[in-house]
Amino acid sequence: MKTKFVIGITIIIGAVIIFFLSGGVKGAKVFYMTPDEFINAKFNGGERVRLTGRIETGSVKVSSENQELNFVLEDDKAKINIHYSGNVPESFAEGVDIIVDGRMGEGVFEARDIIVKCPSKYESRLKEKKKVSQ
Amino acid sequence: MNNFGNFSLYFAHALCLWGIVVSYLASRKKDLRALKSAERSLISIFILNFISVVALIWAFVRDDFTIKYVFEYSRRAQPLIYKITALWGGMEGSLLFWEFLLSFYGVIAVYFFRKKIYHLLPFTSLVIFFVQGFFLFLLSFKTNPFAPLVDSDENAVNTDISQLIDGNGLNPLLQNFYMAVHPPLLYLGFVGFTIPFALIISAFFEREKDRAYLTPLRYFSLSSWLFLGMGIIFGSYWAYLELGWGGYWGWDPVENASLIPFLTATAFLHTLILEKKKGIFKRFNYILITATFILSIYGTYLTRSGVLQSVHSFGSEGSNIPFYFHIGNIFLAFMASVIILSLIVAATRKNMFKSKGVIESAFSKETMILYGTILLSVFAFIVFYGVTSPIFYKIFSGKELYNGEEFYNLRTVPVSIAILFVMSLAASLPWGKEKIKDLRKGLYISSISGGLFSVSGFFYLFSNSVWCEKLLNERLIFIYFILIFFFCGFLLSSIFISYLKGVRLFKNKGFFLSLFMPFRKEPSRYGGLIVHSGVIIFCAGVAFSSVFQEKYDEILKEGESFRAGGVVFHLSKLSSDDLSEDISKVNELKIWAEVDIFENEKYKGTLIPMRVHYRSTIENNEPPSYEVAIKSTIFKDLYMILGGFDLIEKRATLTLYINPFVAFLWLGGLIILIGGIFVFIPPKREIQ
Repeated sequence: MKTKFVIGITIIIGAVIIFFLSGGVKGAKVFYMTPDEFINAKFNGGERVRLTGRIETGSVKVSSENQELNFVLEDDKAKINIHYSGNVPESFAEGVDIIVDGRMGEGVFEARDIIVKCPSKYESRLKEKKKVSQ
Repeated sequence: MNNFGNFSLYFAHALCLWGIVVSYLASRKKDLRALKSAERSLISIFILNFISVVALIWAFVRDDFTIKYVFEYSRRAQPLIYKITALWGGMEGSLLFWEFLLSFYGVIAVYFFRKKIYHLLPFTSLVIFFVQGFFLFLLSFKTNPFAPLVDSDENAVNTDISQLIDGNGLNPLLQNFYMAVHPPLLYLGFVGFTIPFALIISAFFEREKDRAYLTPLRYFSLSSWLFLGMGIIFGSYWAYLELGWGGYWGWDPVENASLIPFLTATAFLHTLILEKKKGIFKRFNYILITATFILSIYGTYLTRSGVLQSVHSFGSEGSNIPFYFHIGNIFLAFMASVIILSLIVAATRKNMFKSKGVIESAFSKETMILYGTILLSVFAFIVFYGVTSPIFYKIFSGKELYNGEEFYNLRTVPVSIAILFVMSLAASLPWGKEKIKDLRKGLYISSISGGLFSVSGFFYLFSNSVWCEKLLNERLIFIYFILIFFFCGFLLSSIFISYLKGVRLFKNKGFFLSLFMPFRKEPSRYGGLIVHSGVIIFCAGVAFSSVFQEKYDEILKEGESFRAGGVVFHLSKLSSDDLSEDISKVNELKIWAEVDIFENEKYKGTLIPMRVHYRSTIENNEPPSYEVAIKSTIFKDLYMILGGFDLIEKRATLTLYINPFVAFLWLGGLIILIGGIFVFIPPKREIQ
């Protein structure tokens, strides 16, 4: 009886694991994408993505009152208009590589988070990131 | 001196190979001379590694920039303490330090085993030599910390030139007390799991019948668990102080890498209790400690091999390096061989897994430990899946998956709630077949206390209008909170009842002595109770600070103020060091704001958030790094960052986080560690 009992529990827990991991709970997968990949993927909005790219020089517009930020994120092939409201991250500057987390709105990508510097603990990781994006 | 350090590495590596041969002979032929030789090799390797470490530290202290590693992680103006801690600032030094600690543990094992389990030393040391051999191989041929600095033509930089140049310097983020102690603690934990792993493999290999080896197994795992726990808590505290995003845990792969083995080790310490007590759960123990060891190697692999940095860099070490010689692949080969070794030993010694007893009741501590172990393993698996799945996604679909906070919170929060539930029940249920009837009174009292906590918690949550609104929007979180309050009340009172029962046993010893006697007589049990009460306090801190964090962004001129969460913040001054000063002469240049806090019209202190320029930030044209200001009370932390600043117009952008009950989290962590130390104390009768 005891072994059956243990096996039963193991099966239940196993089922719970599969449920959790197979996306049985809400929250879709989030992917990193370049602007080019994003445009080609033809997302019609809704899906959350993390765009990695460069801030186009001359594209940044900040409205001082309510801290609205508009800019263009680009890679070598494509450009996307980004809108963000909130405090402008300090290291945010034209030509800098950033990650934009958010989803496509009407004609403009609504960012909920802008990550300028990789929040990594080790410097070598930063270097690595830079090398890759060059 | 450098050659000396380098030579020590090669020599230690050769000794390792010798050690493998002699310890195998000692194990198979029971040759005492071979065993003595293996012992001496372990000790010699420790001395050789010590020489290498001292040589590298010496190179840092002397600013010897002929060594590439020193050039990358130090500079002349760096304070001495950070020149020393730069030893583990990068990969090469970290691996050297890791190997040094492992050799240290090896020596401790030799002395520890001599008493009772000397016959298990040969195969244990064989496994230790094997692990050391792997790290020494990497250090000698792959990631040599003594590799010379080369110029653009691949020629080594000579001493004359090296005296003219200055190094890159340690990442300013790492120049902090907690970051100085965090890696050694973490490594002491990671490395320490090698010994219990080696011991259990040895015990199975030698078909050990006597259970005496379980005691050292427990002490070695427990000490590693403690170090790892301390490392994780110090690391989070560092992140909270230094990274400036208002949080302490970002589910960053680097953090997760340390959490996974910690969770499996926690599960192992629980199942080990049952093996010691009843001779059951042997399979669990074997799997859990092997998994813990492999996962701590996996953690190093993830953070140090470059596989996670960016999935792009996977195998991008340069085309002239053969595939099998990529550092990631060497790690994979090592992990695979460890898994194969443990599988072979398990498969050929199946009868070692036979249980001596059974779980006698579904409502007992044993059953709860079983559930708890499974839940902890599920938790570990979720985190493991979270860090590992992006690698596979990249390989098979070419897409880069991001598993962020939401991925983990969604899955780990329900599991954690379930763990709290199991913990609460475990605290009040009896061992074995004991009748539950006798404990009914305790269960009633605990349930009532849990109910009272929930009700008062309910009213407390709704006394705050911001929290109230948040909870009405997210019902599930509301339910979680009520559950946490209930478990809090239930668990704390069950623990208190158990403790009182313990105290009553020593009534005749007088009041004060009877308060301490339980810890003296059964330190592991009562220490465990302390740990569990720390866990629930920790969880309450996590729940409050992550759900009810408030964030404010304000732009202020000098003399202006703003109000947030019933507190007034007044920017009284914005000033800076002389920014025209030559940065190569000083370690840092500061810009800071002085913000006075007023609560109920009363002055409560000043926050001084800073921005600091280091040489590296100026040279790389980076913005100055953040220095957070925190005013901490038991109820809330006021956490302020100086975002932007205009020194001419005297205007500053301030970001304020109000983090409720963060102090509970650190307090809970501290209680867990103190309880862990109690568990570590040998009980009275074992001393005699």
